[in-house]
Amino acid sequence: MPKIKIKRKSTAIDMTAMCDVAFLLLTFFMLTSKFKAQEAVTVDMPASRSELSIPDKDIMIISVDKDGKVFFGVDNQNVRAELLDSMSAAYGVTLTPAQKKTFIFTENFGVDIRQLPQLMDATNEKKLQQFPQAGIPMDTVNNQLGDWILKARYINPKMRIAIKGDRLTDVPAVNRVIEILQERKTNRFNLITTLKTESNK
Amino acid sequence: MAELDTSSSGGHKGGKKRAKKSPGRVDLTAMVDLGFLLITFFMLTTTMNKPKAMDIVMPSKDKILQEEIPEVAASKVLNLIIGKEDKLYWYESVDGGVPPQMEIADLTNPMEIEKVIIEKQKKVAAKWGNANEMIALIKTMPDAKYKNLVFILDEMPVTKTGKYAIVELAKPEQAMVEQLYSDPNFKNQTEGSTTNP
Repeated sequence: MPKIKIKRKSTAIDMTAMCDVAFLLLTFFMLTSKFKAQEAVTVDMPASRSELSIPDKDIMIISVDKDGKVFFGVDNQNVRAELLDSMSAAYGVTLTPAQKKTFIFTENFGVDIRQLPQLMDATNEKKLQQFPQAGIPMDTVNNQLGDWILKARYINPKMRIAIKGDRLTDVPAVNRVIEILQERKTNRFNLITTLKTESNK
Repeated sequence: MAELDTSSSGGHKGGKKRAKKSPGRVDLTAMVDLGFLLITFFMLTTTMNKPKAMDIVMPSKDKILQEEIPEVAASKVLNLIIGKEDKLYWYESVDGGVPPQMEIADLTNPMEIEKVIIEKQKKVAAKWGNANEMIALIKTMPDAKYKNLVFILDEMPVTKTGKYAIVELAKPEQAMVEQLYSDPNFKNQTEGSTTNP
């Protein structure tokens, strides 16, 4: 009988290539993906089967949280700066350059414009979370939301409008936002939803 | 090869030279683990939650245009009223203004809602020759939830309903639904229907 050759197995596996691949992929994901923006309110969106993607730029998002409070935000930082100038002039609110800078980096907000300077002073995250944001006033006497929308569209007419409502918010709050949009002759807009999957139907 | 060469390891402290066993290689397994962990993290947190949008077109609020609202036959109209606790109250409009009987469907069950819409479409198709003639009027009670509104709007393209609108709830309708809220008989009936779809 011939001798059985026992292969000598190496206990250590070459991990170098695997390590390279892992970090290559890691770099790829870090560079291509966008982090979720720091938002003033968490909105749990309802699911739908719509597969339309929301545009990445020229978008105005009106968020309605579960208590019916309304938050407003535009995506473009230049528009934000211009919008703040025209709104603060219209309402007679003065902001310091530092507060303005904070506003430019604020994704969305939900306060009366008179409280905006105080909100912009709350620079760090902890203070920001403690600051009570009561939603933008939108009743007929003091319709600030309508003015924000109108002025934003005046600055950038291409701006699209999206409403981001919480699953559990009452419809009248959303209806009021829609009504304001209609009053401003904006009859076409989007409702932001998540894609419905089999698991959460 | 699996490990980095560290044979040139220097840095002896205190002058005491120890006879090293010289591993020569660094184990990269932990590094690979970490790499893949981070990849998983980035994949899950960033690319997965891409929001989608629903297109909504509302009618113009201009006064001149409001006078041009066309009249439609009542038999084409299906009224969907979203109430509290995921319940849909619906009725078919009838000619002559007879107060119609409302029925209840469960909004958590897509099949049930689709059945309501498709049956109405069949009725419209039998009478008017085309199922597309059906008009769905979506109305909401003050205590309706937003997710239910989105759900109904989402059902419209699924059931190929081309004509639909979000309209204001009329006072008599609201009174009818409120009556149904307090009616214990109706409540039991809906609970029964939800258990056997």
